[in-house]
Amino acid sequence: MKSFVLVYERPTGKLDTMEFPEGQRHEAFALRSKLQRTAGPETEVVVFHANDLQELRSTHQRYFASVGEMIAKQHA
Amino acid sequence: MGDAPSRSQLVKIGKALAAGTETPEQLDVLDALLARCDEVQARARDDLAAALPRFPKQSSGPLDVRGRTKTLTTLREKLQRMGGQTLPVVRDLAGLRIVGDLLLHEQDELLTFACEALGVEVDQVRIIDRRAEPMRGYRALHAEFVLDGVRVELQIRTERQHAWAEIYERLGDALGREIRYPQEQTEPETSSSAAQTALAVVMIDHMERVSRSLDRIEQLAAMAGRLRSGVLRYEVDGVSIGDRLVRNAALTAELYEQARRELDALARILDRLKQRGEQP
Repeated sequence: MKSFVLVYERPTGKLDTMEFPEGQRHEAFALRSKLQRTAGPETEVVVFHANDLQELRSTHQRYFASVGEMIAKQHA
Repeated sequence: MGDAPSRSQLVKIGKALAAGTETPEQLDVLDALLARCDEVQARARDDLAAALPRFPKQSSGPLDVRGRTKTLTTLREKLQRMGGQTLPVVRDLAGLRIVGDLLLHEQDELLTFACEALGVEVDQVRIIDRRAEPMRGYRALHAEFVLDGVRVELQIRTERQHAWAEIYERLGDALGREIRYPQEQTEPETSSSAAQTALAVVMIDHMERVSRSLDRIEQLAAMAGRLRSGVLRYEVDGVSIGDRLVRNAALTAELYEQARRELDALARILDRLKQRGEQP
């Protein structure tokens, strides 16, 4: 599985993602540790593991979609 | 990797994090602890991913298992809510989550199955059933246990529970995560923040009503599953199983419609906020 470091600003939903190839789990975690030291109080720096970003979009919608988009998806 | 930090060391770090006065050296210790949590949850995730295809359930849909290690931001917030001295007993530094198309009783069975797959004795597990006692509408089945010396929280959610939780968390991100812990609010309110709070309460009320509808839908689905499998015999007042299933389906459709109306009302509020250039 690849690793993804997500830098997510809660109030705005702004998201930056960094992708690490399979086998670089520790490198991803080290980057998370570094980034979160300087992150603001409303910013989350989180590491997830998935085959691709599309998979994460499905399993962790909160980081990728607005509330309105998530509701629309439920109606679809 | 060095020795695990002592309890007193963790208490000091927890207090410093809560106060925002942590030193780089304390963060180094915390990073090492979280890296250890990450290792443990990653191994556990892989073990669960290998075992879950053997879990018997009615739906053929897959079970998704994910792991995560708590972020510094959410850990700091938790320590501010609970008191910094609680760092040694924070139970979800390492987290696992299984989501799938599950009936309610399958959710319970999956908890036992997952613990066995991880080699955790069930009597060493603390179970928190948020279906029986929802928190602001949040429903799920949680288990807490120690794995390789690390406290782990396992969440088991049905797809409906997960979809609800995702919307609620995103709403919390936009409105302020204190909506998830309303009793913690300490700042005096200005008229503008009072209006925001009132709006947040309305939105949360919609979400709680959605949660109650989903709860009933899942109870009806569990009953239907048991009727179909013959586990449950339900013939009251001359109502056959077939008729019961038809009524069950009609009630389920009605509950979905109720949930849809609540979400629509929530979406309309969001649209108005967006038109005014306000989040979320």
